[in-house]
Order: sequence, then C-alpha cells, then structure tokens
Amino acid sequence: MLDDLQVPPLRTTSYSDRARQGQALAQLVSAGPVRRRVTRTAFAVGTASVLVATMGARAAYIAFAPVTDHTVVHCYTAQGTAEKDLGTDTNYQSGAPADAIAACTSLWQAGVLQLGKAQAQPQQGPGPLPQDQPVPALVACTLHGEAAVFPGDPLTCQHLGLPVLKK
Amino acid sequence: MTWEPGGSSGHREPVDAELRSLTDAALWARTGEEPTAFAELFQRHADAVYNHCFRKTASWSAAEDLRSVVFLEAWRRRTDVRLHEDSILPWLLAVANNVVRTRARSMRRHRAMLQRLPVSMVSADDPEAEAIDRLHDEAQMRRVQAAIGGLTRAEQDVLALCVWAELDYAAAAVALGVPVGTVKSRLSRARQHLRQAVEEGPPGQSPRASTGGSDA
Repeated sequence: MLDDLQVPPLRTTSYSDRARQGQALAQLVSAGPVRRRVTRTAFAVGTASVLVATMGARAAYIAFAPVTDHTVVHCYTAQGTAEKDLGTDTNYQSGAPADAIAACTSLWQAGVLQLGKAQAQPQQGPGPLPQDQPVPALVACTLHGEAAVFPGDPLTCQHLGLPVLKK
Repeated sequence: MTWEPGGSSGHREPVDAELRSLTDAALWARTGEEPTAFAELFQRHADAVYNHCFRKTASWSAAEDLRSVVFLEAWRRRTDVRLHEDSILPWLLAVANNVVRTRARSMRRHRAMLQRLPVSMVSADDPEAEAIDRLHDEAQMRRVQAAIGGLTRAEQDVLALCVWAELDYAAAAVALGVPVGTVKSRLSRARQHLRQAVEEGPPGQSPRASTGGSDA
C-alpha cells in the first residue's frame, strides 16, 4: 500500500547549476561563520542607529529602484511580503515594470493566481489554460533587487516600504 | 528560482577527476582543507536532498532553499557525521529531516549565507509548462501528505527514507540513529496504520497523534 502513494517524479537540477551552487556553498563554509558579538558598546551604538533610522525612515525611503536580477519576478496575491502572501515566482527577461506585470498578469488570467490565496492554484483537469480569469490592478515594486508584483496601486509599494520598480 | 533553456541537465563538464573518484568518506575528510571537496559532495547529493525536502514540504521553491540549508547545517554539525558504507547521503537526509522540522529556525540561522548564494536555475524548454507541472507536483504531494498525516512522525520519517528515497534498512537506521530492527518495525507499523486508515475512511475521521510513538 505504501508503494501506491504516488509521489511526484524526481526532479533534477542541471550539472552547471549544482556546480555553481556547490562552489558558492563551499566558499561560504570555508570562509567560516559570520560571527555576531554583541558588546555593551555595540548594543548602545545599535540602539542609537535604530532610533536614527526610525526617525529618518521617511527621508531615507527610496521611491524608485531598478532590479539587479532581471530574470525572476515574484507574483504576490496579497499586499504583504510574507511567504503566505506569495503566489508564485516566474521568469521574465527585460527588467521593465510592464514586463514584470505582464508576466504575473498571464498567471492571473489563467487562474493560477487568486487574490489572497497563498499557494498558486494548479490547473484542474486537462485542456488549455483559461485566459479570462479576473486580474486585479497590479503594481511592480523592487524587493531585494528583484521584481515583485503586488495587487494594488503605486502607493502599495510605499506602504510596504519598497521602491517602485523602474527600469 | 529562474529558468534557463533546456538540454543541459545531463551534461558533466570537466572537473577534478581525482575528486570524482573519491568516496564520500574521503571527500568529507578533505573538506576542511579543500573547499572543492565540499562542492563535489554537493554535486553528488544535491538532487537527492532537493527531492527529499520537496516530499517533506510539498514546495519546490522551499526545497531549493532547504537544500542549501541542509548542506550548511551539515557543515555546522560536521563533527556529528555518520557514514553508511562510505556514503554520506543517509546522514544528509537525516539532517534534512531535522532542518525541515525546525524550518523557521534553520532558515533564520543561515539567512545571511543564503542571500549570498547564486539564484538557482531550472532547465526548461517551456518555462510556462514547467511552472504548471511544478504546481501539479505540489498539489499531488499535498494530497500524499494528507494521506500519511495520521502516521507518527517516526513512521513518516521511515516512509520517506525507505520508500521514497529508497534507502535500505541499514542506511535508514544510520540516518535515524536507531537499530535496523526499529526501522523494520516502524515501516511495518506505517503500513498497518495506512491500511487501517483506508478501512476506516477519509483522514480526520479517526485521528491519531502525529508525533511520538513507541519504538521496537
């Protein structure tokens, strides 16, 4: 009976991908751990820094920023950056806001993304994907140097503390 | 995760032939002085760890991050390593079990290092179809997880190692740090409990504790 539990087939990553990841990991572990020593002085400086950063947050907010990784876009289904708010990741090439939004729009139209649903929804049954599912207003922000598309208007990025994506 | 054109998944580029000829045990012994030995171990076992993490999380995206965390955690706990017939894989899967179980803490611990790793690439001729396939996989894996949800954690671990990762009893025993007889009895109980679950109806009608359980 255990053998009848159909787990999905194995997936493999490319040799070159494993090589890149493996070499990067090897370099990290050979460099040793990042040590965090919290001294009284460091704590005081840190506390002061937080206060300054908090007071200056509005001034320090970066309104627009380009992406540094032009290949991946995170399509969110809610206005938050937690894992539960992420629908799925997909690919695009140009780094342009319109293309990032277009990449996510196609997934919304296909019903793969649905408002407030954390996990992207797989297609039910065979046949072509639908193209007529509702698409909310979308906005592209920059998150850790990558494009992140959220349901909402341009102010959504500011509310989330993220720069609006610009090319 | 991002995508690259398909066709490169099986190609092995020239690497240090000497390292490739070494057993896991010999490679592990070299990792202190020779970072490429650690990279070779990753090359060998990354996919097995990746698939194991997927079966535990039902998320390919999470499995990619956890795969790296497993190797970072293995390095952190390197003095605890247990080899089985010169293979490090059973122990890596045991580390994976623990990493998945304490996922939030493990991710927090290694977050800084994870951010310094290159983006993972997936080979695909048709990225959109590949994305849909991955979603289907995840939905199917969630169904399987629901089906085994009534098993104890120990039974689920044995199931994942012996049935899905295809470790033999001795290797699974090394991974779990228990006698071979315990592995056999846990697997036997897992089969029995699944049979009972099927006879009694859908999951949830006859709940069983999801942790604990006595060993043979």
